Amino acid sequence: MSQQERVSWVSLVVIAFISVWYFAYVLSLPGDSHLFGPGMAVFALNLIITAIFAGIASEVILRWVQKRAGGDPRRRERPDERDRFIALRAGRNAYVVLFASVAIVLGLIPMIQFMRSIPMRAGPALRDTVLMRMLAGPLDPPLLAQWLLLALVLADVCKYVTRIVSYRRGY
Amino acid sequence: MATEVRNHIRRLRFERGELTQQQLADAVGATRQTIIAIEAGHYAPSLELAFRIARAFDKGIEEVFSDGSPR
Repeated sequence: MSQQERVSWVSLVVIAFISVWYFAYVLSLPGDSHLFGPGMAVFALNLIITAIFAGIASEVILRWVQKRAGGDPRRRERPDERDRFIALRAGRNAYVVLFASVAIVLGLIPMIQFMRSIPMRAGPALRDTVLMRMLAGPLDPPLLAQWLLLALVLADVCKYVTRIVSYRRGY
Repeated sequence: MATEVRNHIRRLRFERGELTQQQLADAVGATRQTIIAIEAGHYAPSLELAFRIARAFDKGIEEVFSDGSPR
């Protein structure tokens, strides 16, 4: 396995862990909670510190794995033309996902407005959370930011998955 | 239409006294994984890299690479 592929795997795991943690917390918040309040600031600080430590830990692990694989951990394996082609393909796929996701979010705004104009009775099981507000409105800017953040995460995941598939299946 | 690019790198390495993939990679400025991918036919190198590989074996490019179509 090339060092570039290992980096892609580690990046994918880190971004999946951080984003699942973030969205699991944010989406379960009560719908009327302030997304930029002090509670959110503490959570965001914890998240940033964890992300920094995850970055440092992954770098140490990658060097250790490279050493075990017989390479010189002091010598960084420079990407060659195949790595650059794979990075270009991954970037192109990520942009397609990002563009499509943003288009879906933009289409979601009038759809939610339309759905809200239809009188519906909310069942007792329908809890008022950030997730429900994102799906059923009213969609204010902080909630819209969550959708756009999700689009960015999806694009990044697509980038690393494309890289891994390209290295595995050949390119 | 994609053209299949065949190569004789494995045989040429053998003829060079089992030149390792890492040694070839270092000689042409690529990674070992790229040499493995080229040898296995999973990656068609750029013309520039193909020339560098041919030069590493002191061969012409057509002696190292060929397309899969019958002549």
